[in-house]
Amino acid sequence: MMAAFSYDDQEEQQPFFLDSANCIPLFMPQQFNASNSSSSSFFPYLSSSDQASCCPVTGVRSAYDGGSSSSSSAANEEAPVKGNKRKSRDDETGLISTATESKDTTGLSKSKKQTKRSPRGVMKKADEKKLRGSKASLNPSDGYVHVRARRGQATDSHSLAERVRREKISERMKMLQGLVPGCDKVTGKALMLDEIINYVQSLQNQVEFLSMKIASLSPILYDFNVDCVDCINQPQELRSIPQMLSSVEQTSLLQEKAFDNATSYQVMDHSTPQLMHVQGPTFSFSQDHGGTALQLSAQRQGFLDQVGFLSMCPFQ
Amino acid sequence: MENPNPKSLMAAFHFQRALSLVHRTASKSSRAVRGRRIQCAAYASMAYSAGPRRAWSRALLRRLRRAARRRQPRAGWRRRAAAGAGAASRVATGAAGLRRLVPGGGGMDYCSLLEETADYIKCLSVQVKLMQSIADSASLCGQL
Repeated sequence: MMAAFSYDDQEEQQPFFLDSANCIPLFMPQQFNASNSSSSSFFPYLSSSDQASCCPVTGVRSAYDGGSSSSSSAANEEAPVKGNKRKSRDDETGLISTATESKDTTGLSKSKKQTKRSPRGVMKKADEKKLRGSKASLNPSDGYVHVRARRGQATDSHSLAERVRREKISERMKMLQGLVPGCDKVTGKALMLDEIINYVQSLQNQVEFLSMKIASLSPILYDFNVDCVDCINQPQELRSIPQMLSSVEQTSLLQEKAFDNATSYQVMDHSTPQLMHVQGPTFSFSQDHGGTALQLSAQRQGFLDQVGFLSMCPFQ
Repeated sequence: MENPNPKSLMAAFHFQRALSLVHRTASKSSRAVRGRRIQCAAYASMAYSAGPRRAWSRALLRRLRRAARRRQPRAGWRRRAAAGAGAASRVATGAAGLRRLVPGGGGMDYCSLLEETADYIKCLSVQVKLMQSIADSASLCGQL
């Protein structure tokens, strides 16, 4: 009976955070005696270690009972430390007003104490780790601290990471909204995603359609490319052919455009030396002042290619 | 002339070279086959000019290489593309549809999926503009 009283007494005293070092040796011998006389349902581990001496029993008890008594004392010890940490962190960021800070710290320390008392001492390390993790995730980016402190509750690393992720997603959504035309008119994420999907699909269909169109249109273009490849194998023959069918304005136009092309290609010449391979005959055109004899079709193809490249230039 | 955006210039260059290659190898084949090869060339040049840092370009090149190794490249590409588009329009909306459309989007988380989608849309619109200008110039010169 004495043991039961003492146990109740201890349970009552726990909320006041008595020091466990004082508390346990005071009540231990009585409990030990009680468990000797009667089978105590409260402490089965005491009956198992009946024949052992008193000192190991107290050791076992203090170690085992740490969940109830010593953890509360640990919480009592650690609560001011945590408050200091949090306060120092808030001082570092300097974003939060004092009223919210005080409210925040009190609520947090209360919740920490509750979570600390329930999971029985083993969770202490996890809690510390959590705290450290949240601090590590907070330190590199100070922008999120503001958001976290404004809402008082979700401070563990999971909800912090979730918030960071949500912010990233909304930022990218905004970026996509700028890219996709007509996307800023719709509201809601699902509609926006549908709009984006439609746009990507339309672009892919456009690529397919345009490739078909180029395939149907392009024999001339292809002929020119092949002529380029063929001509570059025999440049001397090309130059030795006398001038035949080129009118003056056509050649001047050709030369001027070819010069434009040459300047634009010299810009990217160092990165793409193969371009000269394709565009080589155009150069020889301009250098020989239209003196190269080509059929009218070939000349037209050269003009075509220059037009193609010049019309490509504006969006580049 | 200045060179403000070398990436799209590189895309134009790659695409032109691929076009000449297509013509050299497939000039005698039918129009549909050539169109599919040009489509492959368009996607490949787009992925090449986007560089290996993007997940979608890597996935696209991987897919194209696998299709080329299978010896039935054009048909496989086309069939799969059509099936994917149809399934996406029928069933999947939201993120799942986006995953199906963006190459390599199957194994991504939502955040990076959106990022890749943004980049893919940029490159795709540049490619469409490029092809449009080529087609316009070709039709213009056809009238000469």
